[in-house]
Amino acid sequence: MTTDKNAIDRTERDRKETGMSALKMNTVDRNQLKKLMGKLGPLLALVILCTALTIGTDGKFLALSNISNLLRQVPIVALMASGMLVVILTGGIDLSAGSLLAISISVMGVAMQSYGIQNPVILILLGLMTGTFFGLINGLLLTKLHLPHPFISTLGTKNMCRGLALLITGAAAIGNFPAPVLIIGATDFRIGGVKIPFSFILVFATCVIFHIFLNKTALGRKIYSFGGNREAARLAGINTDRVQIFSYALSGFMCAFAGLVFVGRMNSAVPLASLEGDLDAIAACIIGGASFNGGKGNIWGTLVGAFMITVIRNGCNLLGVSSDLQQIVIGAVIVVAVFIDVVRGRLEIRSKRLAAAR
Amino acid sequence: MNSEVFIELQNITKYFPGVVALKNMSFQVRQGEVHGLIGENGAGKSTLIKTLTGVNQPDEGQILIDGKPVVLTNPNTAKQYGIGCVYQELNIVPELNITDNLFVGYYIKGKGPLLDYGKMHCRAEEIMKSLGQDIDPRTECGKLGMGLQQTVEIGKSILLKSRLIIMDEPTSSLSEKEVNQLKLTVKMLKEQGISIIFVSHKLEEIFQLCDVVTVIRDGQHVSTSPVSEMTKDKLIADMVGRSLDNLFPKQIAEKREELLRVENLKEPGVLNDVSFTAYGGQILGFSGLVGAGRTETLRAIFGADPISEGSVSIRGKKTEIRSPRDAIASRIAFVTEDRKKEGLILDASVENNLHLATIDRDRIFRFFIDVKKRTKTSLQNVDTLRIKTASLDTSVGTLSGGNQQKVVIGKWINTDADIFFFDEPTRGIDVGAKVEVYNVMNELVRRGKCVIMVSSELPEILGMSDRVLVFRGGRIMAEIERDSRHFNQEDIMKAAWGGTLS
Repeated sequence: MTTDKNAIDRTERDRKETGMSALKMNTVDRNQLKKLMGKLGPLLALVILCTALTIGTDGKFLALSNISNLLRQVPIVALMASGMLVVILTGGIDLSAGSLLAISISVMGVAMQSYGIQNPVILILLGLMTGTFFGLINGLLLTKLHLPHPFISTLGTKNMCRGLALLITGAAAIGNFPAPVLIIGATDFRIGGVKIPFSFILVFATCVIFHIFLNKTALGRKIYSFGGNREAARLAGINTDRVQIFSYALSGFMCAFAGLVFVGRMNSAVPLASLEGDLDAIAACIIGGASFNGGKGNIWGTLVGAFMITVIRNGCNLLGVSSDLQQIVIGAVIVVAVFIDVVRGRLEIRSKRLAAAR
Repeated sequence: MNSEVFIELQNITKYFPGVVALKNMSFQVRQGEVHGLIGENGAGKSTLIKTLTGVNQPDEGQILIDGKPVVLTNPNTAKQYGIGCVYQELNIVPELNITDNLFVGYYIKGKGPLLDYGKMHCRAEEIMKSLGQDIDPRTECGKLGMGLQQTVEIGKSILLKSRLIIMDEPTSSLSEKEVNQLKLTVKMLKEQGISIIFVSHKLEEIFQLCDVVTVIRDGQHVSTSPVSEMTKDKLIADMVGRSLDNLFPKQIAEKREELLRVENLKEPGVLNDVSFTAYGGQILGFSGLVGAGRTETLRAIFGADPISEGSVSIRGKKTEIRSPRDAIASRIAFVTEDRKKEGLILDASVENNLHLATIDRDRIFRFFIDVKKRTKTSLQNVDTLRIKTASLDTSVGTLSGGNQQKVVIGKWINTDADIFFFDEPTRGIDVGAKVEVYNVMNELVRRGKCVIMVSSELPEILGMSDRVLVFRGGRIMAEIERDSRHFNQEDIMKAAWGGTLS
């Protein structure tokens, strides 16, 4: 008899523990707060960095002209990083990003110079299609040829695309694009005393779109799922090849998009553009909390990461730090950022335990 | 029998996020005794082991060794005090030989900077011999069976002169023969005066091997008594507060139309001409030894692995299934064996995991996820499957094994399939959760679905199946109906070992 009663008690208790009310309450307070804190970590670091630079440069850092300058430098990194984020979420990496930017703008330049295409819409579409095409190739190499790791396939396209860009342009920059092509990269809006570049507004819009895409669409969730556990995703009926191919193609598209900003700012297509763009983009994702193992990361963190890299470069310039030293600083920041993330993870576990003890 | 107490835990309490893992736990092990430790999963066995091995530090209470209080700050201190542990997952480097694996971290140096391999091989051979294995220590570990690899792992503890060896479900991945060898090894260790804590889910082993058995439940000590004074029913009652009769709540449902027909499935070296049919309203059990082709058959039908020949018909219609995606479209669901590798995204939330197989189905405006429906379905899953979780946002990796399994099952139930594959659905989950999984299967067949269950536990096969197929070497050896006179453990075992049933 007693055993039966125990069984009933257990059932009763289980019910209570999984009750709806308990679920909802917990969902709102604790988890939400913790997630928010996780997201705010990189932002906090950025604020501290900016404050330090403001003090260090006697306020020059906060001068309106410098702010405009910053906002003009962020977009190229940020746009490439957003595409990179999607690839990193799948557990992959796109080493070819900088080269894809270069080949995209080089194709635009050659189309204009050698083939006399002056229609800005066609030129822009041509650039975007080139980036997407080579991104697609990255994805196909990985999934259809079964190359062992995206490191290999994108390292291959990195070299091929850079070489191709130099080849078709004769290793020379091509200038004098029709004015409408430059709109994306060269237009500024003046709000108060600050010049806000159009490209920065585009970055913000991109982040909003990416946020919705990654969190609210089926494909976005599939990308996270695939990165989290590819075998589980495959067995759950997710077309894993398609998810990967899409991610690399999207990265290629975003590189071409960043290329349009580049052309606008420079008024020329440079085949040696963005030599280290891919590494900056990867760094932005990692500083922003994305995990190399895949399945973890978000677009806002990546945006903060892109700011971080730009602010460090900018700050070093203001402080008169040489470019060699800048590289050392950025390298250190990447290591420290990931280390902080690791420590934060550990602290979270500990705080959970302490909370339970109370 | 009443030898000295080697180690004693006094009123140990340990907190984890949201749970009290150990509550006022007291426990002692005498020298040279084999001490069985049983309890449902989540009862606190792992935490208890981790406390003894210095992986976890208790929040309250103290540990005494030889009567003196000690603090086990990390696994190395525990090793120094003579506590060794053989975990379920072995720490063996398959590319290295026995000696290298044994001496890893404790190499013997010769003169100068080089290692003295002569001495190490000699000692390794000695250790393996003392555990009943006469084997060349230069053998690469990857070439050894699981049983021998485990012996190497035990050898590590011997090398460090351990006085207590904890074995965490040591038989779960061993063949019958290897289990027998392990039993001999345990006896040899006992004769050397080494204490053993033997954690197991198999009651027979407890009765065969242990002197004393301790039952824990919900992080608390329930009972400790000599096995000679224990019965199976009493043990189970202690563990769950539930009697043995309810362990398999089988309900016979009405047999309906043929849902799945498999003909001449072949894949060299894996499947050897497998044909069978499965019906709605029935649980079809797949029995056989590990590696007999049961999982492989399911994976082949599901499109997870390629096959070279054979055909699959669903509801009488030939269907080509090339990928899991096709299988799901044909309304097949596959609750896979390995939750962590194939079933779950451990870092993702309970909700996202429950939604995983239906991402493509519930959409609004073509591209967007129907968030409201997802939450509603997930809350329903949590409620009907009684998944114990703090919230839908909790990452699934933090749940207990049983609850993780329920999430996997929930994911597939949401696909609204007609044919359900359950591969070892109750492996590594506690008795309470097992019963709940059985009830899910009962409910599915009651609604006219077809269930195929792979299980290595014969009582489970007999308890739940309406019909059993026995596999051996990628072939079906026997087909046994529930009302057949062959529907018993002995005959199934006979078929699994290659015998014929008359």
